[in-house]
Amino acid sequence: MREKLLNINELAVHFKLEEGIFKAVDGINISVGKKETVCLVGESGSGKTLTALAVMRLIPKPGFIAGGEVLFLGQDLLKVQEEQMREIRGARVSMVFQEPFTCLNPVYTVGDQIGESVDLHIGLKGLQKKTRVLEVLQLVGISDATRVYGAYPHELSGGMRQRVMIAMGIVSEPDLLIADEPTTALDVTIQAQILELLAALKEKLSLSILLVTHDLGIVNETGDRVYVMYSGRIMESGPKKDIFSGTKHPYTEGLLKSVPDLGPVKNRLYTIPGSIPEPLKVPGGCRFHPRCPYVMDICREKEPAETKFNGEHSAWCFRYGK
Amino acid sequence: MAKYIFKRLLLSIPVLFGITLITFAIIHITPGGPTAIQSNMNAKVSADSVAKLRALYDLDKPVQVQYLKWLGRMARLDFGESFNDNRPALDKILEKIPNTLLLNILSLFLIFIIAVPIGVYSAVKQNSVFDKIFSVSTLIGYSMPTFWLALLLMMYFGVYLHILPVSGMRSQDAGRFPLYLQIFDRLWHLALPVFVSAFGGLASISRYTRSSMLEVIRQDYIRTARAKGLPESRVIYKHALKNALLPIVTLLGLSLPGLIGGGFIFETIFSWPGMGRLGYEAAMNFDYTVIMGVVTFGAVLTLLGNIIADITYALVDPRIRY
Repeated sequence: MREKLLNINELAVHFKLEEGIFKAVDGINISVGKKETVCLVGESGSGKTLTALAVMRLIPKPGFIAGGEVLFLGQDLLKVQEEQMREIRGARVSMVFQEPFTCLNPVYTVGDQIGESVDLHIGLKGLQKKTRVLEVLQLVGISDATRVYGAYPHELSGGMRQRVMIAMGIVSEPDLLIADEPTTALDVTIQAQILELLAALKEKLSLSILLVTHDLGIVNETGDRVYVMYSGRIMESGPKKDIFSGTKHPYTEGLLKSVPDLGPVKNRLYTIPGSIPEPLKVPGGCRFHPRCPYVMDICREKEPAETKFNGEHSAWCFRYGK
Repeated sequence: MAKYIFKRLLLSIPVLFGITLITFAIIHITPGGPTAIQSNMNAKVSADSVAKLRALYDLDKPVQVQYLKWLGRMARLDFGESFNDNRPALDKILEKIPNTLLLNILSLFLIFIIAVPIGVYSAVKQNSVFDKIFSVSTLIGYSMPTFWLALLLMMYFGVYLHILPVSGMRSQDAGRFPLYLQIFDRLWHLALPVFVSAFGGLASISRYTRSSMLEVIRQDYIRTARAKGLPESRVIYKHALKNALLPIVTLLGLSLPGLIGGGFIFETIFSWPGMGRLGYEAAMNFDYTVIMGVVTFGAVLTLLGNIIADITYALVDPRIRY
């Protein structure tokens, strides 16, 4: 097993709503090793993004981190002072968001926005700062870096903006890059380019990447290990090949079956029946049981414990015993 | 940009015609006329001399002819003479402008330096005690009629306490004062009018700032700024404030007509010798030429203010280009 960079233990993110407490992330464990790409997969609303934001300690109100620990190189990020956290945020752990259209400030130039990080975390000013920004723009594959440097976000295409976001994330050479659906808003060709870029950067900068996505195609292309998340819980985790070819959990199975094939259309595209539980209406027992084709009596009563398979592969399902 | 401004100016011309036409019509529909005061009340004036007077002012001609004659004079920038004292209307207007400007620039300055910080603070501390007090007091400030507030304050500070003058812009013998006392005397006379005229604007601009700021701090790019590791003050005052101020800058351009046009009722209450009072007195005396002069000035300034607002918007917001 590789040395771990990030260990999320029993993390819980709750939302205080008028009608009660919504446990959006309900005690999950995730680890990311050095130079590893870990994918966090699940439907919309399963708590993936919140997990990512919790690592940054940027949970939006009325949400809050209700418990657990986020160990980054052994240090619990949930316990450090806000000031110390700011030195980690954007410097050691960076985040790239889903919507490059709305995530860049419309009234500052690209150079300004990346330069700000350079100033803040590396302490370079003036010309040195500019040189560093141009360097990193080239690193993320922007050939006309000088033009982009002086451009405002609205003057750039979606793919360009996402490259700028990534540039902003990696400019201080962080250890961990969290990418939250980095390609969802982009078309397929650009998506492939961005994924290639992330893979290349990972090699060049010895980055670890926590990739949040709902797209199993992306997982298949880029991931080393995978966590499948559903309604605030991890359902199955393990190395990519085990997840794809030795699928254990019915939810993972469902997700894999819902991926459209290229080629002639044979049948209607498979979908998992039902939908992800609404906040405050999370079913008891295994939370997937209302949608599970193999549901048993015990699934409605108890939450399944972890079943370990060979190596790092685990699933939380009563079909495998506990 | 130049083309855009030219187009806007060209488009303003028909609007200006419309405004003057309607004003002209309204003035002439109103019962009574400039000759009424000089003649109707006076038994000694014969019908013959009334007719002479009317002929002198062209009032015996059809309204449309009068309007065209007026237009003809305006084309030569001849505002005509006041019916009241036969002085050129333009002179009367121009000598009032500095007084109105002084009052309004001070109050506008006061509004912006107080309202913007209050609005921002209230948005940042949304739902705090401060914010709640703010919301209630701005509602009161916004709804309170300024003339009523003006009268109350005049009564309290002027009549009961005798610490502030209730009207005019200088003491009677101020001419003999040394310069520093003259300045002090002017400020002393400005205190009440500036406060009252700032009061209503304070409420609306601060509410406007608050809602604009609230909208901006929910944007994705604010989260990006936090994710960079920026301290909260930089997030708010650099990334959020500039965006939140964009619509406020427009308000500055829109306040131009009021800045010079003055408030009719407001200036009359304080006997402030400005454009507003001039317009009010002209209206009471059926001083057609002066009324038309004041209205034309106001209309030109309003149209100009709108264009300036659009131009400033383009200057501060990089996304807007004409």
